[in-house]
Amino acid sequence: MIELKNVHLAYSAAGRSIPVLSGASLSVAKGESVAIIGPSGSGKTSLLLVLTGLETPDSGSVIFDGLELHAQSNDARADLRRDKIGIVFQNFHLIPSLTACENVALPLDIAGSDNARVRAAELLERVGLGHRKDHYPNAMSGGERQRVALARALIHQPALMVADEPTGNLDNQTGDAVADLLFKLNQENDATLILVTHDPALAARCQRQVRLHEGQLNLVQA
Amino acid sequence: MLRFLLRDLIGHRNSRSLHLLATSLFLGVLLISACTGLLALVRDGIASEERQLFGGDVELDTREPLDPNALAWITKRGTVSRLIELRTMLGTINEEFTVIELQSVDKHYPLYGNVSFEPAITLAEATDNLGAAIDPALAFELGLKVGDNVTIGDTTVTVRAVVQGQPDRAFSADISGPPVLVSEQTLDATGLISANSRAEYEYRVRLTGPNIEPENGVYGDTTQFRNDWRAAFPDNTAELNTVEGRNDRVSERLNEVAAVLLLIAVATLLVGGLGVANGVAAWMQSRRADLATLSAIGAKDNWRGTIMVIEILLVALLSSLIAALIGASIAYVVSRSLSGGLPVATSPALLFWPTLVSMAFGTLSALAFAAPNLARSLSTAPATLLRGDTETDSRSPLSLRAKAACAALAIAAALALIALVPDKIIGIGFVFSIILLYAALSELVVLIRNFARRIVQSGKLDKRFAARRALAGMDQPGSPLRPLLLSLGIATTLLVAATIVIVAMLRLLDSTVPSRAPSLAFYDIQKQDVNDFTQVVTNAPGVTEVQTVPLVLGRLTQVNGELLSARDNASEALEANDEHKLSYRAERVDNIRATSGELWPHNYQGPPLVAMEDREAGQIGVQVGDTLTFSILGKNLEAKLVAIYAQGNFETRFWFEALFSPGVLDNFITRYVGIAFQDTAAPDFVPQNTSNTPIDIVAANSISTEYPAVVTVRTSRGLLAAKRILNAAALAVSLVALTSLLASLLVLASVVAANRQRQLQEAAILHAIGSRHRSLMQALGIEYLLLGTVVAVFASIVGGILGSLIAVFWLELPVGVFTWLSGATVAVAIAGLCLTAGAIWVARSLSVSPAALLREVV
Repeated sequence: MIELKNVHLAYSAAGRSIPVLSGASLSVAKGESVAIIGPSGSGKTSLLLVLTGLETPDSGSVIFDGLELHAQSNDARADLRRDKIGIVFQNFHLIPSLTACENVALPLDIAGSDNARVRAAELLERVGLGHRKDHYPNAMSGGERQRVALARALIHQPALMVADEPTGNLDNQTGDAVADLLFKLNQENDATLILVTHDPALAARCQRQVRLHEGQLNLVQA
Repeated sequence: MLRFLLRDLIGHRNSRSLHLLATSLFLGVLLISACTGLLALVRDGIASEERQLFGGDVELDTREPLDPNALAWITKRGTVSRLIELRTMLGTINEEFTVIELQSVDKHYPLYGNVSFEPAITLAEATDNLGAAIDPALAFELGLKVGDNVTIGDTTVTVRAVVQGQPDRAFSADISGPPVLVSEQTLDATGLISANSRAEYEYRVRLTGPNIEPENGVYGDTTQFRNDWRAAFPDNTAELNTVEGRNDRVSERLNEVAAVLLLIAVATLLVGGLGVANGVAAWMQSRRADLATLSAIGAKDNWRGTIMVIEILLVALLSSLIAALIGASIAYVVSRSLSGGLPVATSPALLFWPTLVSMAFGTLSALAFAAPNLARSLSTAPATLLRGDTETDSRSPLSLRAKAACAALAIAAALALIALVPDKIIGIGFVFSIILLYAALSELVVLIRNFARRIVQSGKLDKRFAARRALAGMDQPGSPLRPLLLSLGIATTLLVAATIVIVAMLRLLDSTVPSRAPSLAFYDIQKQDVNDFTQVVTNAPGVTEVQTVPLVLGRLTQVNGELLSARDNASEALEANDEHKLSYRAERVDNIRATSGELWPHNYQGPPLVAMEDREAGQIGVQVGDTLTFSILGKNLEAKLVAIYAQGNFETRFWFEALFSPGVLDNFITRYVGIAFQDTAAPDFVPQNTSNTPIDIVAANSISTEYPAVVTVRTSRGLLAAKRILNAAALAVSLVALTSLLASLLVLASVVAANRQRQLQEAAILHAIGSRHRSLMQALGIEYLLLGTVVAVFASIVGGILGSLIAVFWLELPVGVFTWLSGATVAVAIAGLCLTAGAIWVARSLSVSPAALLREVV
């Protein structure tokens, strides 16, 4: 489904180059769930951005569905995210000026699909937020926002689901509920799941765990 | 507190919002300082130029010397220069004679400006010991050169110099002929001054006093002088004129120019203020989380509020100070570089007040605009802010106390603005215009939002993501539509209004001196000679058209049976002393148009009717329908005032003050005046040593040969002088307007860019979930196109109406289609350029790595 080959990435800060990924490699099969674990600042989010084509690596390649991701144009990568990838961000990244329903409907709006808001409302019902569909993100709790973000990532039934610390900003109870929902909906979609987390319990729910350490990915548990 | 404050500011030194605040303040104050500084210099230049043209602040004209009491009275109030003017003949050694205007000058002459001669000698050197300085036209006409002797009256004088520049003669009517300057001793020696001579005594006064500093643009109060004069000498028949009331179209134009400059400065104040508001809003928005944190750790509201106010005060003072000084420097450098050809003052002292005012306005604006944001942040529960909920607090209503404080600051800012504007009525009108514009644009925002909501909800755009996003974005909470439309809309509307006035002004300045003007004017054509004279002129070289009209002198003595001299108003009462030029209506002579009432048909036969010139009617306070009684040659003539007219432009300089219906003046006519057009454009001055004689001189000489008693004046000289002044004024207006427009564009572009931060964040998220760059750009393009169109159309219409009202009713400038088109062009240009700048900024920001953008989105 998706494969990273010897990916290198470094950021510049204060005139210095700070390596983030130093030859990271990973292969994830269709339908598989993989957890990427590691301490804060280890580069997990950067890895996720590279995987979704939002960040361009300095070297190495990312193969998605047989396509060399970074050989594609910017628009082609956007199309891939629109059609095949769903992303859940740690900070939710909801658009504050749109209601929950409008946020969830966005991927369908972008694709020009029919009944975007009707389908978004249905999905919000499924994540338990039917009564909040017309509310704005700022009027919602962290758990509710993350459930909206989850619904947005899944509404177009992506083949690959990428979640960045989906429970990182939530309390245990809410986090558990969101994680349950994530695995349940992902399973229903028969999607591949790549989960970035530093929570061992959440990682343990994946089929495989890899650790990001000093810029490289090492298998922890299969 | 001080330590925290300084550390806090230093800690934010790289903060984008702090930079935006400082930059917005800087640009706004720079704009205000540069424009008001230049305005001060230009206004002073114009005031000084007017005084040079007029010859002083006040002038008293009499047919005999002022009595010692009156002279002592005026001498106490200023420097007095006495000129005695007399029409007489000058003869050469070859016994050629011509009519001249003999003008005796004293040691104070000229009170404003300098007189220059060729060779470069002083006035005293030119006129002492029976010396004379002659007009170049006279030197050319009679072939005179320095050192030649000429006879005037009983004496022989020596030509010491040719006048090169005489500030008060630039375009005064040379009714008596080309001027010859002599001293009073020489005038006495001519023996021409006697009880029966028609000498005119002109007492010019340059007012002095403790607070009067002409070199710094502070002149004496001529109205006070006039009122005091009338109170002290109610029976004195001297004609009193002031520089402000000068009956001259060029002077009037210069006053209009000053008013237009004031309008530009006022519009500039608002645009600069918008920049300040924008910067403060961004800064306060960025500090909300900090305010919440401070509250969470125990800081009280007063402490937090004080910190914020002092921080804004420090940043505002520093930014405003630097900007005001740089703005003043720009104004000074520009004035220095243009002082050669423009009526612009160059005294740096004149810049002190505008600089101080700009700085104060910048600081006050920053505090006024910060108040509502600060009050809202302080009144919002810290928990709300700590949750990152910036929407709730921006929508939450202010407490009554906060509202009162904000209202008080807004009123204080409005009062300050009114106080800053020299003309209070303009200031008040401006504030009301802004309130109305604000209300109209707020309604427009509601209309646009309703329209956008309906379209989006109709589902018509469901398959068009870009268009849907663009419209939906306008109806969302936190949408930049309102701040953008309000700031850009108000600013563009005002700039369009200013453009309408400026273009109307420039067109009027351009047409004031027409390209096809009479090249010769004739005075003192005897009644019995009119027909023969017309024939001679018609046959003169190059002449294509001749027109003559009677010239009758008379005084207006009564209005509706009441004596004018008995009026309480000194200005109106003194008009009874003025000798008015009266005539009939003629098509070309003065190119008049009725501004109120109606002129009679050319074949009118009936009771006497009269029309009065607008400025004169205004000074006397007469209206259409009044019955006027004139005293002419000792007889009374009564006529009904049926029209008030304006003279089209600066052509002949006859400036008849009243025109009568056919036949009314017939019994009083003793002489005529006339004009002649030639088939060449008004010829330029030609140096006297050239052999290529201009055609108007050839014609004038041939006419003088046949009719030596008729004074023939080449009008081209005065026209050229007028054109030079008006062109310079037009250049000054254009320059100030251009400076204001360019700086306004910078300020407005920064306003647009600042409001795009949220759009940028949304675009980053949309791109992350699969929207193409192209779609985002399209959405951006559609939104900007809609916004730009709304702003341009609104500003064109409302600004056009506002500008036309100001032009027509305040400045009495004609507004045509071209003027409207200019306003619309400016509206499109401003809206287009500002939004394009904003769009480019967003587009460039979007072109960076989406990952980098996402990291910035919190």
